[in-house]
Amino acid sequence: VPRFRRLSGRHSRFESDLAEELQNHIENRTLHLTESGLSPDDAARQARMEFGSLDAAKDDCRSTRSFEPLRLAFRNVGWAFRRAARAPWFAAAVIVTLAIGIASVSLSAMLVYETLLRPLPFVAPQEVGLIWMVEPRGGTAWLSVPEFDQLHRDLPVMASVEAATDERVQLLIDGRGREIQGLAVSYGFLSLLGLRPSLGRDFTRSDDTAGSPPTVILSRVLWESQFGGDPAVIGRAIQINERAHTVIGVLPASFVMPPATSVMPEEIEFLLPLEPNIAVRDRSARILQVFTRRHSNSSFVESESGLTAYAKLMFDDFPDVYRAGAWRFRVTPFHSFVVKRSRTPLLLLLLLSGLILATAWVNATNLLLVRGERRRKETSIRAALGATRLHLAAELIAEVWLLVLLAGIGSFLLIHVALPALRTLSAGALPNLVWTSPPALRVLFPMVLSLATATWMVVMPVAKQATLIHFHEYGRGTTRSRASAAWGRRLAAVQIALATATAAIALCLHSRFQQLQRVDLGFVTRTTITARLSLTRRYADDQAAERFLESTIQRVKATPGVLAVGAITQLPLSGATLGSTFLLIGDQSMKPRQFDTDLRGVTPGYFHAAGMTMIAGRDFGSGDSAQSPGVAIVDETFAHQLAPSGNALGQRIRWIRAPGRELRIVGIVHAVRHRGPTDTAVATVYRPYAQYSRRSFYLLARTNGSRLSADSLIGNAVSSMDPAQPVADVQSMEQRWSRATGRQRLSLAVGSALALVSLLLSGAGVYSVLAFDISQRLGEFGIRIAIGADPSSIPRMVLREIAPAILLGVIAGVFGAAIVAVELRQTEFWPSNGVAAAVGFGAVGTLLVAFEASWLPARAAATILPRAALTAESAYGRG
Amino acid sequence: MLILKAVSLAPLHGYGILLRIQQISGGRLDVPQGSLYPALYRLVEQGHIAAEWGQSANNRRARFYSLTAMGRKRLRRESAEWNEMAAAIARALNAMPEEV
Repeated sequence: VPRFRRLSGRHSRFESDLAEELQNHIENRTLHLTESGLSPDDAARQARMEFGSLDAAKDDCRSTRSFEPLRLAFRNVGWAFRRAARAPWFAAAVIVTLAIGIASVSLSAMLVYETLLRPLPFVAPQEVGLIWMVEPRGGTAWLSVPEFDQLHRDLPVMASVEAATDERVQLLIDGRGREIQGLAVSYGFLSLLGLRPSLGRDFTRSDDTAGSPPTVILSRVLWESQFGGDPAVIGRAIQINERAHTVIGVLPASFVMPPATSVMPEEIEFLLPLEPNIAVRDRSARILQVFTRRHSNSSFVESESGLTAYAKLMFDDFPDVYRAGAWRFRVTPFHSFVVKRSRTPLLLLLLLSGLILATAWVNATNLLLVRGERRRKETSIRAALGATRLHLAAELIAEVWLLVLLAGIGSFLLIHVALPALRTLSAGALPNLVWTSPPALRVLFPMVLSLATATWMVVMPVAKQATLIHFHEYGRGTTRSRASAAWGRRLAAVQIALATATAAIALCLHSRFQQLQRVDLGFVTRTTITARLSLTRRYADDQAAERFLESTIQRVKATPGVLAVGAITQLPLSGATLGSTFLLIGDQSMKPRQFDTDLRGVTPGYFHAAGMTMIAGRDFGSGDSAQSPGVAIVDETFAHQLAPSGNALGQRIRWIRAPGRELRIVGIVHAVRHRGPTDTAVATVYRPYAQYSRRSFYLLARTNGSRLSADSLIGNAVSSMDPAQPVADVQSMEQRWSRATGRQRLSLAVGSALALVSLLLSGAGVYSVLAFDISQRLGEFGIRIAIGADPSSIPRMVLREIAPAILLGVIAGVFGAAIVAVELRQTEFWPSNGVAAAVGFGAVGTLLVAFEASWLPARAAATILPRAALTAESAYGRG
Repeated sequence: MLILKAVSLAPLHGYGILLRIQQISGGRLDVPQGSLYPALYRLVEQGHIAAEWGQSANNRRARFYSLTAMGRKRLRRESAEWNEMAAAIARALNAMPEEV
């Protein structure tokens, strides 16, 4: 403060000295001229004229001081604050408009950067790829254990090949079981990614050998939550699946494996070595996600072609597995797999928010131009009095920058609020990776955009002002400029086009979401609670597992409010699927026909509990035991494939993995979209749980709608029988549906919000342009009314003038929406029909908003009396 | 250079400098009055002249400018350069055909 006072005191002394010195000069000159014979008045006038502009001379003197630019900047900022305070509504409109635009683009740019552009958190992530099996029909699959073993051993073309598959295990701490999820990985997995445990050591070849002492690497989160972040945990034995495992390491905090897939859990809490933990070694059971690192001097295309040559030898050795000879390997960059499903919604989001920011820019520029018009007279007078262009421009720049700075701060706050909401909304729609970004990005994006905005917003109003600073403009201070009215209308047209396009796109997204909601999944999603049970070793015996499941179902069923209970090995919308092959037993002389289908085990009563309808035949019953003849129920899709014209009931099929047992088809059920509303129903064979017993299954309970907590309902039933048995993935079916449609829901929610904002912005934009235009022409209207024009003709005249701009804007917007429609036609986000109606509604809606925004100021103009109108302009000119 | 020369003869206020330049240039040089003060302020800021408030001949408070040591050096250097340049130009203009 004292320093500031000193500076400020020095400044005022400088100013008074300067004023006195220049005044002395003029007086000396006047005296001199008087002595030479001029009258005192003439001498004073002559002295002033010879000197020129006092203000300009003062400015030039000030500019010689070393801290002058800083002082000027302070002065301009103070001036800008006073300006904003004098017109708070104008300032608020500009700030809010820009803040919304900057926040929306920042958010979507942040998501695009982090999801699509940010390198994965591995060493040289561009070299990491995935190896797939391409089936003869073109579908892709993971690899089986023997396939991976062969690649890992021979290592054709690639630098390294490692595998991972998901593992859910029971962690026993203090007698209570908890299911944790993680990965079983081959020993070189971490080093392929270029990572190392942050504590302890990585797996070695001897850890990854069948029969070796069990070892585990913990994730940082698990280490901190369950073991208090104690480094002494290394070397200690912990109980996993009722076996002692030695903790050998802790993963770094940065370890993330995006995205969740059927073999990649959402959270990775531990790593186990692959070999001792893998049970299925069948060549056709493709359960491994196989990672590869290419040589840095080769490409994935080269890797793939190298593998193709190698694969031929492999396939020839197993003709029964690789039938038809059309199998091949595919190698894809890991990054493209990660971003595959989020690319379109994110780019859509970026496009929509870009449109919003463009609208906001146009709107704010429009408001500034309108304001510039109001200041024409003031600017001209100040220019005439000697204010330099640079000074006037600096003032305007300071004003714009202040508004943009406040908008930038506002957008930062908006992002802070919107990001957690967006995270909740997009659960399951975006890779987890997105949320691990450094917080600096949250500041960086709004800052960059604010700078861009500030630059853009300064250029036009300053250029406009520069053209006003001419002396000859002085006299025209209050007249309306035709050029600026045309500019206003053009800007309004652009805004209307943007609003039309955004509204139309949002309506299309809405239409798509409605279509998804109407999709018949084939089962009931409401009032249904689900949870997964992965049985512990205690139930290794099939009969023990069946008995446990039976009593759990009975206990849950006995809870008041529960209508029906069943169990299924792969629940719809859970992401769990198992593809398999069945053979139709027909004429013995012919080769059996093969069918690739999904396979699921269900308990009797599951179909009823899930609300699935039987089309023909019967449900499984207690008589369908392990010992009784094999039975199956198939869905209508499979029944149609099996017997396109006849009845599939009674037909006999064999499962390729246990071909010794015949399965008679005893029932046909309605087809179910197990993967979600965007996928088609896949042919499915259901087998009774007693004949297809699995250690992991889902319980499903349909309730009467009473508020039963899924955790307590299923959790209590299970823990009352066995506290060590964990229950996991507890969710209502509605939650699963929400996750399955997460990407569409996210696009819709964000698209609608952006469309609404864009519509409001354009409405406000049209209103401000027109209101200003009319206020400039009150004099003209007053004269028209005074010489006999009907006051009611004024609104019509105003509307006639703005109508072409509105219509042009709507047409351009429809074209814009059509371009987006062509781009998105084939994606899961676009409705199959009703696009034209949605675009039509968007256009009509925008049209109505625009005309309403025009009508309000136009009607107000007509109500002003001619006399008031005639005087209004001059009053306005002073304001 | 002209301002430096004017104040080198005696400390002067702004209007005095203007008159002194007119006087020593034989009325041939007329400095625009509005430009004089920015030039004076710039020279003060650069340290070539110093400013001090005092009493003028008509007994009014006036700001007097005087040459500093740095200004004196600059005046000497610029005068030498100017003289050298002027002599060169004069020699060139007076050149006779036999000298070529």
